[in-house]
Amino acid sequence: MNEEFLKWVVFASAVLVVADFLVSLYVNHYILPQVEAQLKNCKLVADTKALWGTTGLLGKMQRSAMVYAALTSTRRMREKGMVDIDEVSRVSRRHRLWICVPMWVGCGSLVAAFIALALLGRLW
Amino acid sequence: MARAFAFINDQTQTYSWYREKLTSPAARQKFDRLNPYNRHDAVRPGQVLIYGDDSSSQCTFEEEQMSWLARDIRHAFLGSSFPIREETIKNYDVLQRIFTYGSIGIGSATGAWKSHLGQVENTLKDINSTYQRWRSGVLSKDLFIAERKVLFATLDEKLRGIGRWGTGLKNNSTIKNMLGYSSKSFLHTGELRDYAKRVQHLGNMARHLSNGTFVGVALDIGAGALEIEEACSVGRKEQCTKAKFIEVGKMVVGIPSAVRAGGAAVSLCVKLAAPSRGGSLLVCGIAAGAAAGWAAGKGGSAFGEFVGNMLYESVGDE
Repeated sequence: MNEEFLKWVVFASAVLVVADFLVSLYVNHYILPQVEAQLKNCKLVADTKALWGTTGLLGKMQRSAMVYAALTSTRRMREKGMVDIDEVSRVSRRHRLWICVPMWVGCGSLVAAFIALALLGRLW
Repeated sequence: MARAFAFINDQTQTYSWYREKLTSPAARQKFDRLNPYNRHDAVRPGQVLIYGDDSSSQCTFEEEQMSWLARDIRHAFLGSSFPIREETIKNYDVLQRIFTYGSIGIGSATGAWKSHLGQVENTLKDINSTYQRWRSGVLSKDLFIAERKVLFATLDEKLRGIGRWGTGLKNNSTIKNMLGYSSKSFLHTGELRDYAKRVQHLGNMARHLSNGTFVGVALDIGAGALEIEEACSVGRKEQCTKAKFIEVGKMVVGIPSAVRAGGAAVSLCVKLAAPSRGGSLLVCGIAAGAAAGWAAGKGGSAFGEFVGNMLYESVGDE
């Protein structure tokens, strides 16, 4: 594959990772508490908040990851009694997008960057 | 040596062993002045030793700052009592490699652990407070026993599996045995044996872990700053500029990468394992967060270095 192209993939991914991080700061500070308030009876969300609640930015990142898991693996979590399906289904589309899109963009960018770096022989 | 540097000790060693490595008496004298806190004790893993610039007998401001930091790190990592020191060192041994690459991952892990230990500590305090309320007549005996049962159940839940680690509580069959008192002594003597010791132990452990996080992140950022300073003081101008691009790139790209990878790994772990208890959440949070933090810290470092280098090649050497 064209080396120049791979370099630009890495560069674009870096821009996206940093932008995603900044967006995540906003989401974790303003949107996450709103979504958590809608998922009060979800054990997954409540337990995570109790466990990580006081640990600042990193704790919020963990809580955000758990809310993401509750929103995207609802059926599986419900089988274990970890979420209240009614509450999850009431979460608005706007809130779902705020939680899920940064996760997809961040992970997608990281995977793309690591693959490109590996192909360039610069990963480890 | 031409300039001062800090050395992070990775094994228990005597102070004199390090001191003897220095050949000149002036260097040894300066070594003593910069490391006064380690002189009468073994140097433990995680402690920092400062080697000064032996071309001058005077301590520079940078050397003094390094000495203060070494003292702070020593205090942060080492508790006041020997058992706590030993436990902290044991934890440090396990975590040290992860510290090197994934301070964010370990930050997540120790943050959660601190919170977990804090919750155990609060439950122990609640047990004691319930007992005090019963003794002062606020609670009837039946109510006291009922409340205590609920608190014991809470504690039991928090201490399952690896939730016990770091609490100093042994893996005994019952909570009462674990806390070190029998039902009889609890009710009649009013003495929660070792209670204060446990609470102090938990508080210290939580504080140390918190400091460990701070030290881990600070070391990551500090290492980058030192790389830049090193390149700017001994290298040519272009090496200095290049170091700035690369180290800033590592930090700006590496830290978000580690944070995002940590979150994603935790989410994935929860999805795959579908836990049913708080303890499992803790395991996922710590194991996945730390592993991803380590991997992304290392990978993110390569990622940031590459981007920094790319930016330097396109704009830095103009």
